[in-house]
Amino acid sequence: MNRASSRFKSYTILITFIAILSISCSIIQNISILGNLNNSHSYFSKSSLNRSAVYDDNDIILIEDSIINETIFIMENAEVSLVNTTVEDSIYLFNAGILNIQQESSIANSIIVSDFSTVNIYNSSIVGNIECRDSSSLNIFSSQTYSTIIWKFDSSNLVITNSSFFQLNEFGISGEILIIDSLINNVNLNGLSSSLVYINSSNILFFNDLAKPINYITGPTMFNLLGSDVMYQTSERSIILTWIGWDSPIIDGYLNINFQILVDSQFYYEVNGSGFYNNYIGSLPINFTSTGIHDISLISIDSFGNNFTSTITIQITEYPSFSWNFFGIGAGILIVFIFISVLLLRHQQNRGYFSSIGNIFKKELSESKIKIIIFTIIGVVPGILLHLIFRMMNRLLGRISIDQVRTITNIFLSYYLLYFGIAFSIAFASSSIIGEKKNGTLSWFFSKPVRRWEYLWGKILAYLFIIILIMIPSSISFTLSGILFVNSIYINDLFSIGGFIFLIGILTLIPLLAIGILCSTLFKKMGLAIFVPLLLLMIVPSFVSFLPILFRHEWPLLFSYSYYFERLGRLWISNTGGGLSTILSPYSGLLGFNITPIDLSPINIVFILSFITILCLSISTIYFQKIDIA
Amino acid sequence: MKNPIIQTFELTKIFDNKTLAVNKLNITVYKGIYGFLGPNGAGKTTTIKMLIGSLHPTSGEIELFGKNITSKEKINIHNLIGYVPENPTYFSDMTAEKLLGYIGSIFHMPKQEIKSRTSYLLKLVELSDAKSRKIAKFSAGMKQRIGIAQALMNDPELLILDEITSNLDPLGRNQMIDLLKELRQEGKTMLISTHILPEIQKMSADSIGIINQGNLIMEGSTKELNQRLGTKEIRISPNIELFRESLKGFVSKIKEDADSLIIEANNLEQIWHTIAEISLKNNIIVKEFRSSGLEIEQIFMKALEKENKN
Repeated sequence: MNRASSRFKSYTILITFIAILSISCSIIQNISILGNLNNSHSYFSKSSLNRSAVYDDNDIILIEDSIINETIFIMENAEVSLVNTTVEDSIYLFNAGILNIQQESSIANSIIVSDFSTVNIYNSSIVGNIECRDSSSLNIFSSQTYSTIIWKFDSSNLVITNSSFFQLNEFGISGEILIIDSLINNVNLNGLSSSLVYINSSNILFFNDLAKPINYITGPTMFNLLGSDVMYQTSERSIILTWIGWDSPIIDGYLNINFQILVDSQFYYEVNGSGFYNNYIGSLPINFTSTGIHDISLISIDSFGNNFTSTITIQITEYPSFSWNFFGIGAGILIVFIFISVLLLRHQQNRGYFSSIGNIFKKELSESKIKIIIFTIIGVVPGILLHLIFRMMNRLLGRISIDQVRTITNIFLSYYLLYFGIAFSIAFASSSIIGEKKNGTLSWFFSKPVRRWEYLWGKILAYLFIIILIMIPSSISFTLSGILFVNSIYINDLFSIGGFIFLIGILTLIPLLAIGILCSTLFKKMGLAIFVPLLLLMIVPSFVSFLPILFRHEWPLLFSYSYYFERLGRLWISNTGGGLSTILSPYSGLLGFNITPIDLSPINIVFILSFITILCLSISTIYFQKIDIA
Repeated sequence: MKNPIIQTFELTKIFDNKTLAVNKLNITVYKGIYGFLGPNGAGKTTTIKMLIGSLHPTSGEIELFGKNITSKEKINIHNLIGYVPENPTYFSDMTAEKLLGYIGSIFHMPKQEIKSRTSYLLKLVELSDAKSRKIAKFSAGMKQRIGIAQALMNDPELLILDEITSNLDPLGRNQMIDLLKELRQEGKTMLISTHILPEIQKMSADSIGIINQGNLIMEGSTKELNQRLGTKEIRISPNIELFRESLKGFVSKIKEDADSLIIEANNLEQIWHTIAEISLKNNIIVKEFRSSGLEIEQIFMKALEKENKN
């Protein structure tokens, strides 16, 4: 019984405790809600604060009134007009409130204007201060406010006409102050001069200008708009610096400003930018004596000695010069090698070894005459198009820089090689053997004393010769396209570009030839042999070009054939332009992340392309010996 | 003893590890015309392509002029061969004259010789008027003729001709046969593959090889094959009734044709003896006693029948 009674007591205590806890929580919660309700409504309640007048709804005009010991709040687009009215306490405007003070009204205390609110004062007097904040507007006309201090903060606009007041304190950026026919005891400018102050026909007793004159470098490029990480690169040894500069105050329409240009912290030139205008737009050619990274600083200095410095960093890129000496030596070695080979073959022929390689080479060239003519014409078309573009640019811009020539040439080159490579591979390498294999010509031809490898290499050598034959006029057309329009000091650059285009063309087309030959020996169907160049040059690069975004690394580009010649184009012709595969990494910063580049050197690329060539031709030669030609 | 020009040893070709095209083929070609016979798809062209080296044998060996074609001598062997494919395309962008010139250069012939040989061959194949025309514009007959010309450019000892008359009209066929006979007169050895048997008959092939489903089912001279197949025809007239009764016991087949008795027999000697005996005994004068060998077409059909029975 005792045990049951004790258990009942315990339950009662527990239930009582839970009940008390629940009620307490409920009370606390309700108090909290009530409190919040109070807080959220008290500001708007007229009755809760007897010493405030809140105007947040209707427009109101107070005429010959007197508001004593009441703070006035004007908000939510409400427009309050005080006509011949006296206000003894402060007035606050926010959320686009409008206050018109007119006809000898008097404000004894401060006016605080903010959040797109506007105060218009006409023929009245203000005793207290006026603070203009956050995109507010203040217009004072014919008003005497001798003791008033006006504060101007960010993005506020002030127009003071035919008035007098004690002090103007300017802070922040943006906005405009226009003072006309007025008397001011003291003007303090503290902000940046992007907040413009115009003073016309006014009397200022004491002027304290601490506002920095502003400048903004607009050229040689607008790249600095994109962020400080992007360095402007150029191959020009002479650039034109352009800028815009302004300063506050502009007194009676006169801007008083000077500019100093420093190159690598050394004084370079001084420009007097003073004159009757609101801002100064300047330009100055700067010649560099060395390549590499250079800082250009533009210092603007106003009449009070305030200064402001803008700096851009420019990398004067020195593209490699095409070594015509090495090219000549290489071509000479090749000619000697061919000559010796021919002599050796003749010598072997005298000893009873007959080779058909020369006959097949000649036949292939002879049969390809029309194709060679067509491809030569196609090869010079980009040069002609470039010439027309440069001519048009020259007419429109007045001048073409070597940078522009390099960039546009590089863009053209990458697309030219892409489409030309596909066409070449299909027209020559992929189709030739497969066609003869398919129609039985090859089977018949091999009943003659022809070694298979000689047949294959006779064709390969003919195609190599055709590549050289086509690339010569093509490179010349690229070289000559801009020669009439660039400064003569860059003529050597153009010839260098021409040499590299020839080299890139050769380095691109030879591995493609090897791949085409491999397809032609491996496949029996023409469709497959045509599909492979398309796959390699169009489909795979299109797919692979975006993978670096996914992997944050450029390694997928190694599977894109176009990456190799585009990369050579970037290294040798222009580090801007080119195809998609090479531009992601340099500008990945703009996308908000970084892509780690592979940074293949030309030697690496030549090695990879040579490897592809040797591998494909070796497999083709071995396989061609073994296959059945039906 | 004559040296074989072509000899194959257990020559086998299997395509894609599954299609048996030629099965352990042993052929021997001596000087003269060799008719390589077989129905379509028998393996003739496959064998020929192995002979010229465009197909590699799966197993077995080929000797041309006594030399293995896989040896280093292959190029020298090819100097002695002329080949005309079944459906010739050649280098169709070339003119007839250029093609022959190019083939001559492949054989490393001197320029003067190329010129004279080209002229001679174009005349031989009656294409002198079309020498500047592109081969692509040639008719089927002209293509076959330029095929012969190109095959003869190196004055080869062996000509391999694959279905040389298959695309020709009757007139063209006769002209081609005459041309081949002419070449035979010049002492060329020819391996002629065909499924049109009367032409081989017309060419008077020295020997034939019959291939079916990749297997050589018979090979030898027409005389040898006649004997081997063992069926001869004898035509006797008049008194056919008397002969029919007497010969019934040892001839395989007796037919009547108008007033003649046509006898097919295995043992010709015994028949002759029997016929002589009957005519002497009955004092009969045999007006017509004609023994004829089988035509190639018959040999071919019999060989196929025999193969099918086996």
